Amino acid sequence: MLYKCVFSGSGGQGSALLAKLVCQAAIIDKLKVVMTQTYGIEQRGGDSTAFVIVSDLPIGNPLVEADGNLGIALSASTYGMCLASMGNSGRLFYNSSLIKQEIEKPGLEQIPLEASDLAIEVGGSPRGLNLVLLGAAVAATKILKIETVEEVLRETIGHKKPALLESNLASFRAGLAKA
Amino acid sequence: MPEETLFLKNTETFAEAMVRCGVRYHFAYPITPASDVMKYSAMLLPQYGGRMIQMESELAVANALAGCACAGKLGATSTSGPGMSLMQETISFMAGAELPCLMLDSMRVGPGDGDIIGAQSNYFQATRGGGHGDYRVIVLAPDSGQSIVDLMPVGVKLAFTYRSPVLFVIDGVTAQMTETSTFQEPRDYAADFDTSSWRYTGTKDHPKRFLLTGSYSHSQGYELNERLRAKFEIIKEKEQRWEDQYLEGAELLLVGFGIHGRMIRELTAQLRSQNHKVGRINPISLWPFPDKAFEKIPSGLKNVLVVEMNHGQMIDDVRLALNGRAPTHFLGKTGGDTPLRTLAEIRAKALELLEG
Repeated sequence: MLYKCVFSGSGGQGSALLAKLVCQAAIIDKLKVVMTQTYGIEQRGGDSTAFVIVSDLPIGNPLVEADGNLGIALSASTYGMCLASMGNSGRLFYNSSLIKQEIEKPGLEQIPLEASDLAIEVGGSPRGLNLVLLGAAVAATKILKIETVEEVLRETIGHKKPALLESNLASFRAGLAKA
Repeated sequence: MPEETLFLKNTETFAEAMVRCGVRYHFAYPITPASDVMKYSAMLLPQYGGRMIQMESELAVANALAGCACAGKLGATSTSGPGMSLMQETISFMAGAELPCLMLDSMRVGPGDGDIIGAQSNYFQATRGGGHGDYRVIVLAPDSGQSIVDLMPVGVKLAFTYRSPVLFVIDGVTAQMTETSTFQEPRDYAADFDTSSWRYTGTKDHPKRFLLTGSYSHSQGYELNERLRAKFEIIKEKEQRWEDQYLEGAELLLVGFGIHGRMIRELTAQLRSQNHKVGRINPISLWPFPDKAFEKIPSGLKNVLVVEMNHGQMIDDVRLALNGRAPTHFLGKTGGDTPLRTLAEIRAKALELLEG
């Protein structure tokens, strides 16, 4: 099993958090992970992409080099970047609340989801959009166990900001139900 | 504390590993991509009775390291290329005075202040001593978080066994990567060494001794250099480290260290599974360079491909080790958004050489 994940978003949308959640859940599921991020001005609110490799074997090449097979794009300005890092197979889940024009890539299955709207509907805020898309990706690929992701959410978000746990869980579950 | 697996940035892994292996004094000055080491050790060291001390400059860092070593203690620093350059005067002094320490060069693009993105452009500086004089420092090149953890006890033992600075070189891409590493329970490896014959403790319990100086008479200079020469010969004989695979029947040999070592590990296995006659050598000690690894190369070897994040530095040592036995080719890059050759590019070059 080898997933090369690409998570793209604009400042504050939570692409880095997605990457961290996937890594933490994968570690609990006894998988190997490597995470790399583009960094620099991204830390100050620009566009950002996080790359995560998840495997049941030790990871050799730590780079995602236009061979991603699981992508999540949160914003219109990062959709192109996300697409460029994807290979010609696998799935790209994108936030169609903000990304209005799908660009076709042969072999790649692209799944639109109105994630910002869904997050507002179930959690009262668009901030859960990253978890809506993660839910859809987890349900479709089975990359991680659902209960492990929820456990990590409880430990991380629940620990720091208990008030936000329920809305984030609701967003994640809304994504699961959409797959 | 039993075995423990942590998910850390590799700079943090370096800090965690060095503290677990006995470092209690970490002197540093911030620089990307090495600052996380000091940030992490500042948090961790007090739990172990130690301190991270942010000095006013890299010159002060190096001199603090020398002072710490004079007292027989294990000190460490972490920096990048521009910082390494500033420390060289004192590293030369420490090599001459035979003072141990651990150093990390989290390598970024040079020359000059350069760029903050990762590189392997300090191979020459690392393996040729770096400062003035006829000396070398021991250089280790981990290629992942786990290999940082596994090499740390080796580094401490080498520093004290040979009373020498030990330099870890890690390309900034690997240094900034976050991954899982499994740590053994903490053990102070430096405590295994008796430093009483050379550390400065005052003369209350022994007569006056001549321990060290940075300048010397003609005869002292000759004796010192003869002693260092003999020591370096022993290190070259006993401390070469590398990993090799699939050498038997290989027509193409891939050579790389750090992140490229990790990539050619995957590529070699991939190409072998497709019946290509490829082998690999991953140098782990860069000084001493693992010449011995190249003694075993098969007679049918047709080409060697060296891959580096620079414009060709380790390739000189590969050529010296091969001594003309096979044509040696180079693939490298420094700088850019992706400051290294991709696996696809290395694969394409390897196939081109295999097809001749």
